[in-house]
Amino acid sequence: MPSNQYKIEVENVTKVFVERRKRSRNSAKNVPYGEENLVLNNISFNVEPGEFIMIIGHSGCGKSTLLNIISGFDIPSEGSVKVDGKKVTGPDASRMFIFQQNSLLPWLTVGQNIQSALKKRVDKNTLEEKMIEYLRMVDLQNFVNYYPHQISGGMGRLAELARALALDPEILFMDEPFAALDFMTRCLMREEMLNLMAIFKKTILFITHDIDEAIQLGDKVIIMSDRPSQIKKMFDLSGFAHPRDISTGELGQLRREAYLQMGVNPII
Amino acid sequence: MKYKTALIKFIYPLLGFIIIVIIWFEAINLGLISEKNLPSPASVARGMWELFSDGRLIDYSIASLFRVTVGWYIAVLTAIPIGLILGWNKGLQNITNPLLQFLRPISPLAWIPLALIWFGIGDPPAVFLIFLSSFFPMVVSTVSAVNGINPLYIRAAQNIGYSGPRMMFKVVLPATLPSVIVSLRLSLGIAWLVVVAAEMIAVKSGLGYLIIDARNALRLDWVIDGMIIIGVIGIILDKAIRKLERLKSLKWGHVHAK
Repeated sequence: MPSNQYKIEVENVTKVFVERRKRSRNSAKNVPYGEENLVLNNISFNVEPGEFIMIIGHSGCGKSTLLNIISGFDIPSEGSVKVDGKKVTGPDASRMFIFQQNSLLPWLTVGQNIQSALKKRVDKNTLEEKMIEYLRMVDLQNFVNYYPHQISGGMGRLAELARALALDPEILFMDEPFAALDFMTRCLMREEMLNLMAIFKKTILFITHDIDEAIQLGDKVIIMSDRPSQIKKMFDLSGFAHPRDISTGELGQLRREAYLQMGVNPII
Repeated sequence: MKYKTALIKFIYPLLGFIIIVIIWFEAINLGLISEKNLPSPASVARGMWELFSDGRLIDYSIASLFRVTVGWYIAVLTAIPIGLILGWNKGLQNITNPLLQFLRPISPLAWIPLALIWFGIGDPPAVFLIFLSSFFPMVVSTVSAVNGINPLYIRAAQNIGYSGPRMMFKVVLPATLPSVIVSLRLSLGIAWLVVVAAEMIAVKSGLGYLIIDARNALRLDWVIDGMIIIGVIGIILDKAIRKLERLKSLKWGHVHAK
């Protein structure tokens, strides 16, 4: 298969962290200064255009490091990442990152935040109109003049999603974007995500701790092992159309397997 | 309810002053303190009226405020840009930080001899001392404000495509504004402290000069009048600059502080 058919190619990515602290943060085990810590061990996978990839793994397994490398915010010790066949050398507006914490600029209103992203590619005269359009998509059109600290956590996530989409990126990187929300809001967010993605069809790499979230949303689910991380298991769920019932049938089976892979008992 | 808020807002703050004046009055009245050491409230009030009616009170206040304004403005206009640049550029910061930390603890008053030699007599040395007193704290706090910016904001802005001057003016400056405003307020307070000392040298006007001149003339009532005016103007300056902190786009800074 010609390599340019893939949107993202991750080839043998390895990341080594060198211990720079004099004393370990975790005093129980003293890591000597200069010791090399293998975080990512030879990770390779490909992502097709428009694919929704979920990555799950235990905390500290290097999921975020992997995402930082793929998005260009970090560099691999070995191996390479290619987007559209070109090697990634740094962050780019065509690849938007969405973090776990709110990163809307707090001194700007929700509307101004969206505009700051739109300015890049939209004509000045239509800026206002477009801004409302994006906010309407996430149902925040009535919060244009609110500051980020005045809206709820869930609304903040949606506004951030709208800001990311306003840049019309090709790829979205999402690092546990809904982890700080309460359970109910998180479920609503999943639905919102699916609706938005039905419209926008972006390539998405999405990190989560939540197995249900992964099974519910992903076209593919990558399960990472503990450090030094490798891909432990990959589920292909592209054959399952939305809406999905993840409690029964084949998906229920897969869900149970994912739980077991993560070392959690699905039936308690 | 209304009566209660009025009580808290106006009566309570005055109560402390009233009590002090009563103690002061009685201490002299009962002969606990000699009037040679501390003039009575009545003679201080008489002195205040003299200063007001011969125009000195207003003239000297304006003279002092002028020096503070000029010195402090020059400090604001230089310290904040320098602080932003040093904060953003880690290399420059590493070079200049030891120098700043070395110069900062030197009291502006220690610069008096040099200021007199460099700037002669009159307003310039006083303005220079005020500038120094505000400049170093403001640079240091702006640098640390830049260092303290939530890295997420920088990263999000980078991702959106901000860089260079746009990053500086649209992200770094607004992100540091809440702490910069606090340092403006603190440094204005320091400037007001220093102007009095600066006016004890080289000038023939201002509230500092009033105090030193009154002492030479053995008019302790005028000394206390000078102190009272300095205190009152200090409160007014602080109240005025606190208005800045209420800007709507700065509210987030307080939310985080909570």
